[in-house]
Amino acid sequence: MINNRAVVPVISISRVVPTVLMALTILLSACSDSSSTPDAGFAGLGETSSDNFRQPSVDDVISLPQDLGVHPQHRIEWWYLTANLKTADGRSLGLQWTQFRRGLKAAASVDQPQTDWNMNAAWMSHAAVSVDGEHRFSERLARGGTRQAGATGQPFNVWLDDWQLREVDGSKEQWQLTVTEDNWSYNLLIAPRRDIVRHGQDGFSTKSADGQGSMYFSFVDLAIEGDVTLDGETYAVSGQGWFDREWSSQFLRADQDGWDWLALHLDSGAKVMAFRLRERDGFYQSGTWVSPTGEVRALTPDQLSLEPGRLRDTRAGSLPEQWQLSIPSEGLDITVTVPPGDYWNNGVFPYWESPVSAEGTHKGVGYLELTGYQE
Amino acid sequence: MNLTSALLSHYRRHPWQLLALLLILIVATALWSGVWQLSQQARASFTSNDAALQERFSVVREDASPVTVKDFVTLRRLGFCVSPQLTVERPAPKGRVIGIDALSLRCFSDVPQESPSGNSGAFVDIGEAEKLAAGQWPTRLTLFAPREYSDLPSAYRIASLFSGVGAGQLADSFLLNLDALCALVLLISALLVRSVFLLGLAQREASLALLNRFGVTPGRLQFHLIIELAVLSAIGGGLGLVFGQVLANGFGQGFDQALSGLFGVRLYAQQTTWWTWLAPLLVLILVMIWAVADRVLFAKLKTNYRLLVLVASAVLVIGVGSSLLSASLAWQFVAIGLTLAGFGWLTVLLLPWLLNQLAKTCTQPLTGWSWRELAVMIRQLSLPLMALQFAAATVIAVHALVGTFENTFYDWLDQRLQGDVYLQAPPDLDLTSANATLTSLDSVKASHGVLRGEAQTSYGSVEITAVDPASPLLQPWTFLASTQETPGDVWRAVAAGEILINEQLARREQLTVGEQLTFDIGQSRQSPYTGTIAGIYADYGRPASEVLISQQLWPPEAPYSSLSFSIRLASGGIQAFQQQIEQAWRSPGLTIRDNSEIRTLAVTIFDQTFALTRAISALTLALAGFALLLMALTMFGARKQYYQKLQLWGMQKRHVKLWLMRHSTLLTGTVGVTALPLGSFLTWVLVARINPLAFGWTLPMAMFPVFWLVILGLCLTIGLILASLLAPQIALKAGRRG
Amino acid sequence: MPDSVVDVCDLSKSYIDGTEQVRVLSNLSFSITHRQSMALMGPSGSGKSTLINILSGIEPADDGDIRLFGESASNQDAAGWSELRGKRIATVFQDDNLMPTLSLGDNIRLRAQLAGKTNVDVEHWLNILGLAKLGHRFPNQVSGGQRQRAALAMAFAMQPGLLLADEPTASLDGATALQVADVLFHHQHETGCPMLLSTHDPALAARCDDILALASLARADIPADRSGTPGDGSDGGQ
Repeated sequence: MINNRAVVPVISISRVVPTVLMALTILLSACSDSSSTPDAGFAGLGETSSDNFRQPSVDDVISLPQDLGVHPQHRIEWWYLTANLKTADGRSLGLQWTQFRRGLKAAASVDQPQTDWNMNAAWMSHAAVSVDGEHRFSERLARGGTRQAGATGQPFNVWLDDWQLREVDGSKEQWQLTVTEDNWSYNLLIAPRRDIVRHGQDGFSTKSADGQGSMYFSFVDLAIEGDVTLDGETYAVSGQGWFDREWSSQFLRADQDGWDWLALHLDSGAKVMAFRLRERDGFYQSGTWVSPTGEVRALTPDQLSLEPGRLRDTRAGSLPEQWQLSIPSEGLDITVTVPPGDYWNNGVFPYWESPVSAEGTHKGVGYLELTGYQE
Repeated sequence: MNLTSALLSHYRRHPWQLLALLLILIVATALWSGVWQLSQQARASFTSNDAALQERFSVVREDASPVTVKDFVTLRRLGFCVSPQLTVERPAPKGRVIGIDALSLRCFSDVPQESPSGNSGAFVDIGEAEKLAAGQWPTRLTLFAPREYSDLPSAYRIASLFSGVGAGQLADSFLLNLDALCALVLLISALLVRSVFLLGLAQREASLALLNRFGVTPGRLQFHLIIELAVLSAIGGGLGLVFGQVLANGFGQGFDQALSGLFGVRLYAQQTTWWTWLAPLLVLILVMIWAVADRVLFAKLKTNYRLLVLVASAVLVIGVGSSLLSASLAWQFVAIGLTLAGFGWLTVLLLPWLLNQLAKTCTQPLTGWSWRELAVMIRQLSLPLMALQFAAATVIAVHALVGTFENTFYDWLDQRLQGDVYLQAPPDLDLTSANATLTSLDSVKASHGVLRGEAQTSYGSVEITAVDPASPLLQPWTFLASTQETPGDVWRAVAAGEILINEQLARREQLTVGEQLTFDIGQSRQSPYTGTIAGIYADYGRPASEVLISQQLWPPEAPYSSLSFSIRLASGGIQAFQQQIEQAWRSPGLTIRDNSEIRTLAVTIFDQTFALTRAISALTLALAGFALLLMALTMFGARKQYYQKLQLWGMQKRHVKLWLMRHSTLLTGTVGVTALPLGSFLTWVLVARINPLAFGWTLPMAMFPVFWLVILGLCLTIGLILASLLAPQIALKAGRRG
Repeated sequence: MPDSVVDVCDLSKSYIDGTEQVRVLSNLSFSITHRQSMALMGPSGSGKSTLINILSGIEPADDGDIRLFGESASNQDAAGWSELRGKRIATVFQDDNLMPTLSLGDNIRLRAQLAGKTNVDVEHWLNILGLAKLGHRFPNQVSGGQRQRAALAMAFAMQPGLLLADEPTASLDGATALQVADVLFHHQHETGCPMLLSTHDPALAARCDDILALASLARADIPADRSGTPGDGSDGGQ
């Protein structure tokens, strides 16, 4: 996926930045001595790493369970779950949970002892539920350093306030995700059915022709069941999900202003992930194909085609609601379509996150993320 | 050469006039929009923070140990919305620093989704605050909650924070007066803008008449003039708005700090909304229409001097009459406007007439010339002179008002902050035993308990307060009215069973001292008590009616809503006292208010606000003076030849200059003198009419005659500056060539 | 010449107009004696008003010598000129000679007062100039001719030693101009006050004892010392 998908929708400078974002920026800049330029890329994702943060390289190795936990040497990382579920009466329900961490200082360079309120990172958590064209979104922020928010690999646990994704004890690997908001909540049990997929070169996912990239792996096949409560009414839901884990220190090149990312569960049992980073002249694209039997093939830029189609006008800008994805080597040529509705996640950094369905040589469902489209 | 360039050629020949016009437009717009934005910001902040001020809750530990970051994390991870505030007490002059966490504050719905701007005020990130404290200054962590959670874990409970010195209506009253000030500034700005327009028109009367004779229809001329005016307004007004914003921002920094401390209100870094820009623009357009409408469209209307005097007098009479008689708040504001307009108008109508009468009685032709010249100047500069008069009156009024508020405020503060500390007793504590415990503590020198509750009267429910009339803490009280000679006698009367009522109750029910009042404490109507009103006390800033009695009259079985103590400490400081009392009452986590600290804080902050208000009004005067100078400079082109004539006739230049100086200082001095009664009237309406109507209590009006002299001096200074600016123009010049 | 009231010798004056120097008077010499009236003629730009300004001390000459009432006025300071204008030199211009805020009578009274004549008989002068009963009127309440006559009344009432009149009838219609001129010459004769009268009107000039004719000077690049060339009227004089 692209660089941090969610967290980083591109903020254009001309946009009136909400003051909370300002506060966040102020906090971030106040707490780091770097000459960081928070405007670089979306939410600073294009910042160069100057605070002794490590930049991932092809030689980095992904190993579990520790890579499910925090990477204090890296500036940016996230845990990202999307799910295409159905209620007992057959209605489609999309669901997202993401937690972002943005380090303010690389762990190794922290020479002062941790105090009560010293902020070593900023955490952000997003949750969304989409059903019948209605999209609910909520955002939480927390300062790092207090354990109000955090993540560990063993046991697997990612939390911010009372929102939490954690491993549950049992014979087989199973996670529990709980999110509670004023008028809605969900509580899901999640079981990985396949081993993780390492994207790119053994997990190093290139993000530009220059070779910037991130460490990126996914659980592409999650069996999910649980409850979603909306306005006091609880629905039993079940379906499949996709979980991304990605970390880096610089995701975007300064001239990359947004991306389009999608992950699909095809009816054949195949899974596909594709992304496109929009650059000043053109774009950089890549993807991963996972066959029904679990063989993984990294797709180089010339092995796939991801083209935007029809545009949809939304209150925050117009964006492509239809995409044409083809992977000739796999005989795949599909149209990916966003259902009716408005799927903006209106947080500090607004971006679009919607469930999608695919038609064509293959059928399927999945999630689409678009950043950098707001006007 | 087309019509447009023919019309504009006037400015090509007189570029300074164009500049002067633009400058006045800029000044007027900047003044109005700047003041308006400031008061809007203040108002908006008050409104949005009102709720937050009403009730504030914090979470404390049941075991009375201070809350820590662990408690914060525990509560957050259980889903409770709490946000930390770390108060760092640094000794003066560095002062207190408050650290907050903008990230966790987001779940407070009544906190606007903005956070304090990075560098203004005493708020910093909590991590910064902790770093500042660095272990060398005492810190205090408070966990705020947005509401009174009932489902907290058993180790915690909610504590309600009483706001101490929330100034309540006193602040509202001040803001209301700020509104009045704002309206006055608008009036002044409108006059300046109108004067610019009329000036431009007068200057080109001849060339307009010429164009008319050349066959240009009046309609086309009007159209061109309106377009020209619109363009000028757009340029001048636009720049003025920008300067107004700059002005507001500059002051806003100070204002922000002023408001934040006392009222817990912040301006949130001067947010600009479309409304803050649009409103001054709309006003400008309205003023323009007003200016254009009567002179351009109805230029033919001949004005009759007597009629004008009649109309102006009528306006003045209606204005003064309304402020005397009307009981409507809105009408009082209208009355202010009418009085000002009528008075100012009459001034500029009658003064020239008076001067001409004076000239008629003169035997000395030079003196006669002088009076008549002055009369002409007043007529020609009537609008900017009126503006200066209003500005001077406003400054006088604001000064008196601020002085009044200052006095009142310190009295009020003294009344509320008696003793060293203030302590709210935990619920269900019995007064007698609480008193006994307090007296037994070696850290307590004197204590004074106050019971509060509700009483039923024939006028409905009122608040009732019971005190110990013998307490030395009560002796400094002053009374608005009393049956007794000295405050000591009043308290003795109270001890003997008489009662006191607050001004609000007295006004509302028209009660006076010596009358009887019957009331019943609590809900029961079983044992009504009738007492003689021994005195009426001022109780600024609260809407409630209140009765004050001796504690002896409080029936033992009657419920009370609160029991609090003002305590004078013997030694050992607050920490020691807190420890002792918490132990004695077996009630951890008591909130103890340090009165001296709060007093210092409140005084500092109120002083800032007052200083700012004075600055705004002084700015108004300065700008009105500046506009007058500009206008006079422009106008003087037509008058300078008469001063030159005197020189041509042999008068020494320095004598001519003296005449000029006499005229200019007489001009502005007269304005200053006429502003005095106007300013005093204005003060009186604000303090004695508007405040009681709006809030039910009066402020004791203060007069400052020395300040009147200052204003007169300022007006004369403006006159002297004017003379020195005009003087170069009167030099004899070789005008004609060939 | 002891009898001379005005003695001008080699007077020169030029202006800077933009970057160019424009010479308006060049080596002008003439005298006016007691009782003498001298007309000052010349096309526009020939320096008539400049000369009057110089003689009343409103602007300085570049070069040359001026003697007034037998004393050198070339080095007169501002106060000295004020004194001269106040007591001894009367000026009458084409228009705007009066204070609009004073009645005709008060204008006369004021002018006389400034000349140190405190007991001037205003009514007398009003009568003499045909303004009887108009003394209480203000300048905007009388005709242009009456205004100019009032201006003359002011000038004569101060009993000047020299009268400088700059086109005093130019703004009046023919008949009125004639009336005003009659009044002017009549009283100039009566009082014997020497007068320099600038005018475009040859008929008016002809009524003067002498005519000083100024020619329009060309640019400064013409040698100024070639007297007789576009003549600064050095031929004028007497």
